[in-house]
Amino acid sequence: MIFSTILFLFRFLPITLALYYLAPARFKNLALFVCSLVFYSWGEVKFFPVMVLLIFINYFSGLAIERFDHSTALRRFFLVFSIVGSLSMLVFFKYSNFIIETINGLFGLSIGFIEAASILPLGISFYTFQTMSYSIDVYRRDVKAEHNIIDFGAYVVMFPQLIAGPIVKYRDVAAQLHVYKDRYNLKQIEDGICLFIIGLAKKVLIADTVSHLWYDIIGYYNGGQLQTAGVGLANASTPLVWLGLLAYSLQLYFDFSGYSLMGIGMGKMMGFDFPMNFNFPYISRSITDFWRRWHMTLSSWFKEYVYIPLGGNRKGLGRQIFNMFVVWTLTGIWHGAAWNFVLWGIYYFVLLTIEKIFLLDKLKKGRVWPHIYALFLVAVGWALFVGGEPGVGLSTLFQKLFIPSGGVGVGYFLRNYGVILLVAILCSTPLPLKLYNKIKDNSVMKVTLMALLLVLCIAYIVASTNSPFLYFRF
Amino acid sequence: MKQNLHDKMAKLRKYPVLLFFFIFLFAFLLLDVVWPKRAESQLERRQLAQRPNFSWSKLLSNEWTADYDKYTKDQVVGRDGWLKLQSRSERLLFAKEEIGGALIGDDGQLFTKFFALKPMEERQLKTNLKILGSFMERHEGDISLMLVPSASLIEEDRLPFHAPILDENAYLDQVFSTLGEENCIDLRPLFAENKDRYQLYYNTDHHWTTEGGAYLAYQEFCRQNGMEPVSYTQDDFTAVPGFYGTTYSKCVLWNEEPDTLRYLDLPNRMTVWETSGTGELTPSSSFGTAEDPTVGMYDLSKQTDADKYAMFLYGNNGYSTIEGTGEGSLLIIKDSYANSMIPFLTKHYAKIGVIDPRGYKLPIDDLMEKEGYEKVLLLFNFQSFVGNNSLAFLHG
Repeated sequence: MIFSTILFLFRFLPITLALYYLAPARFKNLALFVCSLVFYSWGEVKFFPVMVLLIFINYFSGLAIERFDHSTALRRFFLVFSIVGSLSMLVFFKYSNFIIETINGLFGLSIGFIEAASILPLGISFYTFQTMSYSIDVYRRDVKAEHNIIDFGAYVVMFPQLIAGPIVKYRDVAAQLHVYKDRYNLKQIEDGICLFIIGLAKKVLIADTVSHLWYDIIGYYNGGQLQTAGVGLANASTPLVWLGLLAYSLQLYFDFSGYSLMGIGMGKMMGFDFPMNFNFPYISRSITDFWRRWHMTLSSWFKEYVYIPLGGNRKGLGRQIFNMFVVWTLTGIWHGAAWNFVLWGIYYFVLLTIEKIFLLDKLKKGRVWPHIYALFLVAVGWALFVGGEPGVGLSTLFQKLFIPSGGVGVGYFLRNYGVILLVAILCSTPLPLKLYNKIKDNSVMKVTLMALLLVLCIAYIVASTNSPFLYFRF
Repeated sequence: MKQNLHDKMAKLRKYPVLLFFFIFLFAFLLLDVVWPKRAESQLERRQLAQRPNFSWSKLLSNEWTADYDKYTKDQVVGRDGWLKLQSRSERLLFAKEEIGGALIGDDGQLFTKFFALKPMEERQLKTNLKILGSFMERHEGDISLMLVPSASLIEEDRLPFHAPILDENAYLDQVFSTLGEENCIDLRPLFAENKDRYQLYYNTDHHWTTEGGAYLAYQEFCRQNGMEPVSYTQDDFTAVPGFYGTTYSKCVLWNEEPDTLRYLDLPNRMTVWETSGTGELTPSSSFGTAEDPTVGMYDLSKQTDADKYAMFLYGNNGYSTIEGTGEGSLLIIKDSYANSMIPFLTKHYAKIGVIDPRGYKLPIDDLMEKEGYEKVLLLFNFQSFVGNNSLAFLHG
């Protein structure tokens, strides 16, 4: 189920919230668990057992790790068992056909693709990372194992953060999950509602509207099928391709951060404090800075569960660079099962290494050029990111970007999308937040703003013929 | 108890967004559930999704959930109002030149957004040219193709600034040169010459106007076939005001003026046929009465509908024939553009056969022989011709 639909907003959400709020204190997690399972199964009913299995594996592994506290061997065994359980599901559904394709390509074989792995279970990249964080934390004795399977299930499949994060570690919400009475207060609910509406507006009013510029160029695809032809990348002029890339960069940010923010908002409405996931990434002054602001919960997951266990920066520069290489290759491949994502990860590894070795100090002294530097490299990164999509093609895209060529100009696109581009750029800066902070204590203005945004969002949702969600692949 | 409730209300009042949000959410849910459901939308010109019937097999194949999603969206309370609000916001807030696939041109002219052909359409176009070529070869000299240019080509100067519309000229040139200029009727010069004198296309619809585009095309057809066109003035046409066409339906622009649709009130009778698998023709029982299965050329009941253009020839039927007042016969294979042009031709032929390929699949040569058609006019709009995948019946 997608957040920005009538079905979610006016069926699922009110019913779920009503059940959750009206449920007696000790049944709240059960209400959340059941509703979340419905949410999860809605798009792919057959994946219901996948989720149940994942919950069981990790639940019992957690209990076992705690139970065999004296035996290092057994603790290790159950940790490995649970990680293999989570990872194998991720690898099977997300990577098996990619691996088969690569093997076929390398050895000239023609192994058939696995039919069952052609569709990705909703949010699998997110919840498998969450279950892994749980068993690792229990193993490290950072957190107690969860004894109540309903509470544990509610954590794993909790719908607000299921599809697009933020990636919530079990220990972040463990305490709240066991507060049964007065889990939330009115202030928290109101704040959550505001975050939810702002997130919805980011997704529906900005990401979806600005996305059309890019689709006007490459065409609109649905399920790999071209629905509407665009002017075509090959026919577009170099300035237009850059404009398209700008639009795509904005779409990606508002799509993803809007979705995360809706998740955080709904979490708050139910009494959970999820970590923030974005912090104005496009005002970064370096790539290092960018990755502290973009998809923060993923970066911190990799840092905590891969980078630091590998030794982090404590074993010399050479080892540190190797560790970064591992982390960024994994980050790349996490974003999608294709070589361009690996390339994209390695691209960031190279940039971050260069910054680590000498550039970061220079960037800190600059005022304007570090912004331009960071934005340019991030945009080029998104070109690598989007290069594998139908209608794009990495080599055509890079040729168009870096070898000046004529073709369809920017005139119409600037005229048609000028305002939305300006709004999107403005909303990428902290300025709107500053303005909002000024008016948010005036309740009339605040409620007016929220009502306006919500009503507009509904109009756009009803009128949308398509509202793809970019992070579905992840 | 009362005091308690009072306290609670006072507390809630401190959280206006919370109050607003929950009242809105639940009021919307309730209204949405009890709101009457519609079979179709006149504004959008389409059938709306209905509540899907539940079955376990549909649930397991994800059909039921997907259908339910569509159903809630299509039947949402106040759907038309939401669409109009979105269109206003697009135009006024974001200053868009394109809304929902319609380009907003000067003087209220709306255009279909058509930037390029899909690869599939490119292939289909090649196939169609082959089919037509062999068809023309078999009946040399008896077949002509009239490919009507789109409004976006003729009224180019009214398009939004630098709109990257498909280069239709190049495609038309290609089609005409492949099939031979002598077999084709190129309306571009005539339309370009007259576009400032007459309104050739509707503002709100992709079709040509009866008294403008269709009338000019009729005159050109007569000239090419050595016939004298009948001349008409504005007064000869009956006007149906308040026509909002399909391009309007895409963008529901609030300040768009409606078009006036016009037709020639002629008494000719039309028979719509049903064709059996072996080619037996019987008058369709859905039209006329048991005693007299013929109807007039216009479905006058459509005058009050949103889709007024559907009044011409009762929409698009597989095969129908019209009794004319001239001599000889003509077979027209066409899309909906022809529907408003065909009435002009009734003065020149004794019998006009009309085929819409979407509803007629049998070998064309058989029908021509059996019904004795001497000449064939293929009449399509460029945009519907290029991707048309129902022309295979023109093979021998």
